[in-house]
Amino acid sequence: MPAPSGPGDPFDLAEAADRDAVERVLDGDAEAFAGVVRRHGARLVGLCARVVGSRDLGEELAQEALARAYGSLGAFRGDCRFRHWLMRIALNGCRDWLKAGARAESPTALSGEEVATWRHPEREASARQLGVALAEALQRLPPKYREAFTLFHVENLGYEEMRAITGVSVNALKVRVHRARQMLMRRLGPLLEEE
Amino acid sequence: MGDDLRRLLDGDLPADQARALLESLPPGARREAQALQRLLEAAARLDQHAPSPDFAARAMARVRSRPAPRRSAWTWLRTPRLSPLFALAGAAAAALVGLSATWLGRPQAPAPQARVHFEYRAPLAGAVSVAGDFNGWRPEATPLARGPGGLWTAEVPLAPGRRYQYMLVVDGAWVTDPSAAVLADDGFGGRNAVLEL
Repeated sequence: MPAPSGPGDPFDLAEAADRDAVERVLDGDAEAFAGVVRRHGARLVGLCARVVGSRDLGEELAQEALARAYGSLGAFRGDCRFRHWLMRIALNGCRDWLKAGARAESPTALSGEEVATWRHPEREASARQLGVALAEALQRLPPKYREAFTLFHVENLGYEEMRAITGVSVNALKVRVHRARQMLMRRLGPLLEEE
Repeated sequence: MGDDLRRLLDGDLPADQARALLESLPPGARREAQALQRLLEAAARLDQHAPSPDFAARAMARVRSRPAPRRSAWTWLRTPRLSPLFALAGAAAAALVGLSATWLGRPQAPAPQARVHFEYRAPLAGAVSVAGDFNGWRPEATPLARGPGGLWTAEVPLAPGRRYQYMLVVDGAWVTDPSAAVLADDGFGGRNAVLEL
C-alpha cells in the first residue's frame, strides 16, 4: 500500500488526514472519525481476523478497537503514525480476547480461498491449495508466533514498526518470525515443493 | 538453515549478496530456500478480504455510542503543527493563483502534486515495479528500488483529488498489493488496489 516513509513525512496524506480527523473529533465533530474507519477498517479487520482465527470475531474486535481509539483520541500524543497506534489498540484487544479463553467456541477458520488473489490461472489450483493450508497452519501456531509472522509477512511491516506496535524487542521479534517460518515449513512441507 | 539464509529471509542482505547466496547453496538447501520463498509469497497474498458491507456503519454506530473524547493536557500543550493537508491546500491555492496569473498573461504555476510512497517487502525478489492507470499500466515505467530489509520503494508524483488503480509487478508476476485497504475488480478475474488521494 502506498505509505509514508516516516511519521513526519510532509507528503504522507493518509497520516495527515488521520491527524486532521483527530483534531476535528477533539473539536467536537464525531463524524470526522468516519474517515479513519474508512481508511483503516479493512486492514484492522484483516489483522484481527488473522490473529484470532475468525473473520466474524475479527470484525467485532476491529470495531471495538476503533471505538476504543475514538474514546482515547485525547491521549494520542502524535509521536508515532496514527495507524500504528490503531494497530496497537487492536492487537491488545486480540491478546485480551485470547488470554481470556473466550475462544471456547471454535472459530470459523479463515479460508485461503476467500482471501487469496492470484493472477496466473495455471498456478491457481496449487496456489489456492497452499493459501488454504497456510491460513489453517497459521491458526495452529502459538499466538505470539502467529502475531509476529502476520505482522512481518502478511502486513509487511518492518521490525522497528512491529516493535512500536507490540512493545516487543526487535531481536525477540526476529526470533519469533524465524520460528514461525520453521513451524509453517514443517507443517506445509510437500505443498511448498515445486511441482 | 544458516544464519545468512535467515538474514536473507528477513531482507537484511543486499540484493547482490542475496543472489550470490542463493546461487551458492547446495541443492538441498536451495530447495529449502525456494520452499520458503513460496511460503512467503503465499503469506503476502493472504488477508485481502474486504469487511462486511455494513462494517463501517456498524463501527460508526459503536463510535457514536461512546462518550466524546476530550483533549488531554498533552494535546492542549503540544505545539500546533502545520498539517500536510494545509500544505496541500496551500499548493492548490498557489496553483489557482498561477492559473489566474495565466489569464493575465503570466507564467502558469505547476499543478499541485502529492508524492505518493509505494512500498513492498520482498527480500527474495529480483525486480519490483508498480503499474497503474497513472502510468499507462506499464511496469517498466515505475520500478521500485530495493532498500534495507528487502523493502522495495518508489515515490510517484500524483495529482490529489483523484482515484487511482494499480498493481505491483514482482519478478514479472502481477500481484495485488497485499496491504491495500480498497480493491476493485479488474475485469480479468483479478483485483486492482485502489488509491484515493
